[in-house]
Order: sequence, then C-alpha cells, then structure tokens
Amino acid sequence: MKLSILLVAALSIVSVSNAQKFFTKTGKISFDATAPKSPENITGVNKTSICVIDTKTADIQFSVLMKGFEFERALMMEHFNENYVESDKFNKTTFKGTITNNESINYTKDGVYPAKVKGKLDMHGQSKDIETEGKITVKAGKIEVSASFIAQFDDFKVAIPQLVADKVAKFAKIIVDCTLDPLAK
Amino acid sequence: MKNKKLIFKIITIIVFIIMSVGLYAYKEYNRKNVDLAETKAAYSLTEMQLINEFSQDQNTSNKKYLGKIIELVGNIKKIDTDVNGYHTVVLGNAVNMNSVRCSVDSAFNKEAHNLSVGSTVVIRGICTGYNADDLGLGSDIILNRSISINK
Repeated sequence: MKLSILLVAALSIVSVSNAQKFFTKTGKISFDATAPKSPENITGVNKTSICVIDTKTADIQFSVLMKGFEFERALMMEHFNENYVESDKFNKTTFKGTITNNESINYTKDGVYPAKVKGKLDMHGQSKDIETEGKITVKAGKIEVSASFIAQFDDFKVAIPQLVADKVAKFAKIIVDCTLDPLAK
Repeated sequence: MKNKKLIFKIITIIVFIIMSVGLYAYKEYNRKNVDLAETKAAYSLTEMQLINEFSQDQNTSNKKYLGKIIELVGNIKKIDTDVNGYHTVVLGNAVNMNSVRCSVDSAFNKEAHNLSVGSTVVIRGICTGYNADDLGLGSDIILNRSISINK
C-alpha cells in the first residue's frame, strides 16, 4: 500500500517535471474603472502581459508594461499614462504571489480548477497585498488563468481629479485572462 | 448708441470664445489614437540596433524610445499566434536570444498572416517597454499596435 502511494507520487512528479513552468508573453490584462454614473466606459486592455506559473513551487508572477494599455480614445490613454499611473516614472506593474491551493490542482489532467492566489501587487511605486480567487483551466497541455480583483486607487496613490470623479471610479476592476504554454527547457 | 455697439461686440467675442473652446473640447474628447500607417516614425533603425541599445543601457533607451513610434527593419524570427488569433511578430536573429516582440494591430492581422519566418520586414509600432530576461528565454522589447509597411 505504502509502496504504491510512493510509486504514484514518484510518477506524478516525473510527469509534472516534464513541464514544470508555464508562461505567456501575450497575456491579456484589462481594467474597468467606470464610475456608476459615467456616460462612457473607462476601460483599457493590455495584450502583451507576461505571466509565469511554476506548478511545483506554486509561484505565480505577472509583469505588465503600463504603456502597453490600449484605449478607445487617445485622450483617455494620455490621461492614464501622464496623470494617473505616470508610466514614464513607473513603467512596469508586477504581481508576485503563490497559488495557495496548488495541491488541489492537477496540471497534468484536463479540467477546470478553482484557484486561490495571494501575493504582492507593485504599481505606481506602491506595494499592496492582494488576495483573490480565480480559475485555472488545464486544457491540451496549456493552462488558462482567469481571475479578477479590485485595486483601490488610494492604495496605490493614484489621484483622480475632482473634475472627472463622476466618470472615473475610485477603484479599478482588474481582469486577468492568460493562456500559458509549457516552458520547454 | 456707442455703448450698444460695444456690448454687441463683447457678446460676439464671448460667444465666439465659448464656441471655439467647445469645439476644441469636443475634438479633443473624440480624438482617435494615432494612425500608424499615416504617421512618420520618430526613429528608424534595425531590430539588432534597438536590441543592442536596450541591452547596453535600459534607462537611457527607455527615456528615448518609450511611447514613441519606431520603424524597424528586421528579420522575422518567429510569429506567435494567440488563442484569439492575434499575431505577434518576433524580430531578431536566431543566434541572439533577445528579440523585439511586435504585437500586431488587430486591423492589420490579415497582413501579418502573409508574413513568413526568415524574411525581412519593415514594421512600425509604438515602443511600450523592455522586459528583462526573467525566464531564461532572452529579453524582449515590446512594440504595440504594430503594422507592416510595404516599401
């Protein structure tokens, strides 16, 4: 009995180590900061985000270039870069965390797994602990990560001028949607 | 009589100012993102020149290139297609690990479909940053909203 458990454990380690790390350089991360009464949507999308998951250590990392966010209106993009996130000074936003329920996710078997993530979000020169729940989908050797969480502008010292307070909310909903490929060594 | 004329003049000027401010605000508000096909690049160089500049001094290069329209002549090392069918043209040479990743403007996705690995291409895009080598896969310079230019 003990031997068989050991054998199964050993085998699963072997199969996982085939591709321990998964990554993408074309991850999609978008945000929505539309105030409830705003006549227009305040949204931006970044399609060049980096995401890395280490299935063995449960580490999950994101790296997002702030200038890579695309907007419908040019003015919105300029305000975002110059006034709100000051992307000349703070070019990159990173998230470093761990999947806290990693043992309940089988990366070698297709399926949809609920995932809990805890970590630090570094944005606009500020660092803040974030905890959220999302979904990890294992499909045909790839991993899809989807999650969303709220980032309060106050926490990151992003000031929204009174003039646009009726349009821009006091927080942004961050939506993560990435498909990761195995990292071939 | 003279007073009336003056008041009329002032009112006309005020109305004119309000209208021009309104028109300006309206135009600004509705301004679209720059059309890369119609806008001249701030810098034109080869993909290897850009890679070398960024590998030598990231800070100076960031200041120089971020947010700017760059036109690159380079070799297509790889073309990545994501789950939504969007392409990323990866420029660089096979020997060097570092590359320039050009995220293709969705309106130009069809053109990108006809590009082939190993060929030389002219690509115009907005430089959004530099990702150092975190994965052991080489570092990347990112160009956004890229389009290929036929010369």
